[in-house]
Amino acid sequence: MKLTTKLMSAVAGVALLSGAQAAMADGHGLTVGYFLEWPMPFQYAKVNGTYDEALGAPVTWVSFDTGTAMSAAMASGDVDISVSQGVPPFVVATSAGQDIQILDVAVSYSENDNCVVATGLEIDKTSAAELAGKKVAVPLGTAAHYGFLSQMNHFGVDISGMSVVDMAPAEGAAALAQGSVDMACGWGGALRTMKESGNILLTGAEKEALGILVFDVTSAPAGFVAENGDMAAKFLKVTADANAMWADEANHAKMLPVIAKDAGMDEAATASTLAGFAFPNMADQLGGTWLGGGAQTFMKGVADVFVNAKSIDAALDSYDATVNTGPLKAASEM
Amino acid sequence: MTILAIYVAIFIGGFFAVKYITASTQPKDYTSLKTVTFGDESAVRPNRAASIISIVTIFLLWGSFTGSSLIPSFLHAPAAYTGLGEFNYTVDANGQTDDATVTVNVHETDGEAAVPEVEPGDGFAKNDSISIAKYRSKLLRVDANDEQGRDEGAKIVAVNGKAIEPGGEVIVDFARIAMTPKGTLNIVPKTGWQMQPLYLPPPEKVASRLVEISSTGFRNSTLWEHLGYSLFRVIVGFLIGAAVGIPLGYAMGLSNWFRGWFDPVVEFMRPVPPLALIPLVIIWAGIGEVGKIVLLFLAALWIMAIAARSGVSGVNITKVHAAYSLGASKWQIMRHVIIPNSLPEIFTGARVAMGVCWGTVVAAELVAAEKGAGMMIMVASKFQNTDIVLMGIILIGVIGFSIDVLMRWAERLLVPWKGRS
Repeated sequence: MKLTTKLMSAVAGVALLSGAQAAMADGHGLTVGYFLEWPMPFQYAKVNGTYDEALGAPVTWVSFDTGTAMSAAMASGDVDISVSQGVPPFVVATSAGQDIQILDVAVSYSENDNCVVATGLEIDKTSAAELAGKKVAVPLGTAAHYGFLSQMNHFGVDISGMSVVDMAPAEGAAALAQGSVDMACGWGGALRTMKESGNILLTGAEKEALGILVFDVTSAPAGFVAENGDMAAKFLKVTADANAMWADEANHAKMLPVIAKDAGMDEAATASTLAGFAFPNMADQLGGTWLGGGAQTFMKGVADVFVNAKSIDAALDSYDATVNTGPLKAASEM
Repeated sequence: MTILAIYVAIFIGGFFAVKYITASTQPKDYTSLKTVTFGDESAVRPNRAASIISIVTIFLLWGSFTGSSLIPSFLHAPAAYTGLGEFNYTVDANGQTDDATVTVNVHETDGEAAVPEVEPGDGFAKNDSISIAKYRSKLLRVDANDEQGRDEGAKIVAVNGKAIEPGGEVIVDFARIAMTPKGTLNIVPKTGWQMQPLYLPPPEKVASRLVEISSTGFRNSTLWEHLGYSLFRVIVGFLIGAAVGIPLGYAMGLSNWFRGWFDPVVEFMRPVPPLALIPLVIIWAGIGEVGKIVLLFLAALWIMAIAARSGVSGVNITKVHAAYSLGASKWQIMRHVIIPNSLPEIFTGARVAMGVCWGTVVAAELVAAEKGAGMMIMVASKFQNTDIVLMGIILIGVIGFSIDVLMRWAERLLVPWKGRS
């Protein structure tokens, strides 16, 4: 067999394989975005193939490091559903004109998203004014960015005088440890690493008291939801069942190792992270506090914060149309 | 695909048009007298008409597919549907059928529009109306106001006389009407060929952003500071890379030991993209200017070393022999033979290195930069400011092209003997 013939055969084989894969992916599958180092009960169902079973189709899971990247992937049409996208990146996307919708509240976590000040500065909430002119690592357009803006606003620190650099949480944690930045903001595993090099200004409870809520949502392109409402409902149902399963502490022993492994974390870190998470049930989500009106009002507030910080040009008049409770209602009746 | 087809058509059409027009006005120079030019690189000159048509075509396509006000409307690609549209649907309720009309108001994306008022009509299926923003879609439970709804066994069986079932769709003159698995109609107005501003803003929007950022700045720095920082990093990184790389290349070209020692290192590092080094550079050199300049230095170093080595290897040996026979010392050979003869190769390497550095600086600024063109693009993309992203890309392209033009000019000035034996 000549070398050219071999090469041609190899190319043809690769083309056939990739064509077959594309056909499979294009068929009836679902592509879902999620975060690594962000442990959640849905990962137990993910690993066990419960989603594939319930949907009757293969689910492809794609990991991201920020919610803004999730928005971009949904805009390109490559991701159908994003699990645990932060509200701020969702607000940024919809304010810019992207047609995506909130399907449910994935997790509430005031303790698991924060800003950490380098220990050497000896700055706490009583001396936060000293942050003026300091260098801060912030993943722009995310929940951490919103939290940072809100905290600085609360302490009366002029952000325009600060040196704000755009860094993903893991990079921000490394920069804080190196002493390259004075403060870093982030979530999850990176936030735990940051706390080894510094201290927070406000606890989760203190932030909540100030109205700085931190929660993530399950989001999806409106077009996808409109034509695959049933699929979306089944997806939300599996997620809700996994959350309900985690709510029963008797299941922690069998769920924790699976979730930890899938999140790329050790069990102790996973347990401590999950301890700071709250997973509202479907009835609560559909109530006034969350998707019945509270979330929409909160989103408007987030958008206004970003507008005032000149991060986005304009906010929508209302964010009511960006919430679609249809699939969640359908899931609650399953 | 459509855009590509149009582009190819303009390319072919332009080629024949220019060929026809210029056939009678050929310049009578040495090149024009050549009978065989295919494969003769010296006979190939960039066709200025082609360059102009190429740039105009790109801007026309951009304007056409974004509905730009800068180009006449007859050149615009079909836009997304706006205005009132209607379609009929047929309901079957336990053997009884009835028709009703849906009136759709497709409005501009900014702001809400009133839902058209319609008469309910006769029969158990009532007329409906809905308001949808262009580029969007909406679900419509047409049976919500019908006397017999989905729960009473009524189901939609046709749209505009064409049969439809769950999962199916019917194309009407202004929209695609799809039916969800539960029997609800999803109305998707035609999006046309024009791009949404979120994905591709029109040229005038990008131009107005340029004016705005030129005057008010971006994230507490002026546009010129952003571009200046990027240029500063590139020039410093390139100069250090050249200062180390050229002597290293000469040493590798002139000494067996140096060649043996550094060849594995250079050949190993050359294919490693500078982007892959970002995490290491951040850890080792921090997130300040040093880290960025180190990255650019590494981007330029290997290219310059290889260019200098090739320059030495390419020196005509007869010139070296001639110089020796005239009693030249090693230093004189170096100064009068090797350096002048290797300069053309080094300049070619410098142009490549400068291009790579300018491309790499954008990546270097993606992480923790406070100022710079790359930082501007990255931050804008986080907030889906596509107009700023495009503006940044255009500025980077223009500056990169200008740098290359300057390098070519410097080469002509400093190495006039290039291409002459």
